[in-house]
Amino acid sequence: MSLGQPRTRRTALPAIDGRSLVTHLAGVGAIAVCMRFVGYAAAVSYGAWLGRKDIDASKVAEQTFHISGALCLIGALLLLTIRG
Amino acid sequence: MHRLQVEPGVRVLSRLPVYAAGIGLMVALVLVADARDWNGWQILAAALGVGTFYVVTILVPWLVREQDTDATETRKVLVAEFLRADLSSEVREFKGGWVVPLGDGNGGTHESATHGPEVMSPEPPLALRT
Repeated sequence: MSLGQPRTRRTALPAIDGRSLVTHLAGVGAIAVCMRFVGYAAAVSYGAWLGRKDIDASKVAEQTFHISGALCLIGALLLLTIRG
Repeated sequence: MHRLQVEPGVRVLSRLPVYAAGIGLMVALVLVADARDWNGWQILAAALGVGTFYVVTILVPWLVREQDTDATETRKVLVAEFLRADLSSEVREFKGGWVVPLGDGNGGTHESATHGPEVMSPEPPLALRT
């Protein structure tokens, strides 16, 4: 849709088909796994920056995986509900 | 290592700012994607970028600080247990990071402890400081 073009107003939420749901869930899993690696790397880097060696980077990565996965799941369901 | 057991409800409450920031970013991303009619790949790329920003700048520093707080609390518990178990006959108070001996430092009485220390050890051992 180009800018300036009037949007059609939605009257009802679109239906969710199974294939779209599976695709969105796959995207959620991919993002969560990526964020796990990002979290591990960030924890190691942040610990090195602070000069601390007692940081449990694996635990930080696991918590990052859970939190980002939950947030992505909520976002995917919201997107599915809005767009179908 | 001895770890404090934090109740899940307390943990969720203490992490509320982090969760709120994540939900805010996520809702903003969904609204922008819907308004601009992005396709799936565009949404995936944007979500990876926003997620990386969130994890690196907000989530990981918070979790690392949380671990630091846990370690500090654990150290306090360990020192308190140590004082209670091993030094209960010699030490009455542990205040402000200093070990205060009873009375004149040779045992003392309850009265001397309640009226405050008369003698403080000039240089407490490093392990007994918080």
